[in-house]
Amino acid sequence: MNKKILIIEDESDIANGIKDELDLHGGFDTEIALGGREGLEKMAAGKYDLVLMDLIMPEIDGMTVLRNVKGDPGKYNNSPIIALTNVSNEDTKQEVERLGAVKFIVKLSSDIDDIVDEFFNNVK
Amino acid sequence: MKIFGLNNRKFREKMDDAVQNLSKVNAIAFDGNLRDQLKTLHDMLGVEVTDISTGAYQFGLKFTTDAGQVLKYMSAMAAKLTLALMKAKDSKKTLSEQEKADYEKIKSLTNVLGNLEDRLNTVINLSRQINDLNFQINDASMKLADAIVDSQAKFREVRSSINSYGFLSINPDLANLFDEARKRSESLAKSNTN
Repeated sequence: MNKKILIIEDESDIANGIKDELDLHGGFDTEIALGGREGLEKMAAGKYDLVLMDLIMPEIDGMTVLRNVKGDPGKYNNSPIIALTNVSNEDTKQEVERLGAVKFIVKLSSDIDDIVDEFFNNVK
Repeated sequence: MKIFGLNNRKFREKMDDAVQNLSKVNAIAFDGNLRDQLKTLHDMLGVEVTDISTGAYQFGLKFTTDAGQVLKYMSAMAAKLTLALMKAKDSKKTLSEQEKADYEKIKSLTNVLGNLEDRLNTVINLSRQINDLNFQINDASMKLADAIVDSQAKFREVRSSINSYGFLSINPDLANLFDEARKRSESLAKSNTN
């Protein structure tokens, strides 16, 4: 059975780039949420095996999504979130991890499919 | 104070006694200190407190730059850079050492941009919190203005109701004249009933 992955990213080109890479890898059913608000709505509507989320998004940013999920994990179906971002500030990283992100990954530091494989291998 | 050419110490003492007698008639309305306090407070309502209300209404950080739009644009540009870099990297199966070094250099710029976006995002979020507080302050300042209007009306009402006696408390000469006139009219009233 394919793993369900949600990509929360306001830049559609980036979101589609990640989706294409995962689709090429195979074994995943990927969905895109173009922003934090849509991301929260999708997470509330159903469980995902993994959420890949950007931090810097307009209106509802990644930190706000994490706060909402931390505040009511049941509502958002306890979907694990990896922050996938260009931000590398240490204080931001610590805050993101404090808010419950399972991992903080800087974009381009690794291939997306490697990141996802490593996550699911550790989950097993 | 010279009134009707009178200004000696003995007369002054008689004036003060007259005022004290009037205080016995109305210890509230004739209390000069109390009246002074009323005037001071009433004046404050029209000046200092109104100024505070006006200031509160106008309070707020005027965040004129549309920082949100700047962040959105910067984010879009950073995304384009990231994609272009990924595409360039994937265009070849193997990168040369120079190509790898150049890739790392440009990749570091995406991090620089990402951190800049992060700090700008923090400023924007804080300014949103300030704007929310501004709305609350504006709302509270309107209620303060209403309270000032009500208070001023009450002050005017009370001060005008005691005004017919009030001026006497700061003017002993006239207080004495008033007292003499009152005594005459009371005496006249008594003799008419007899």
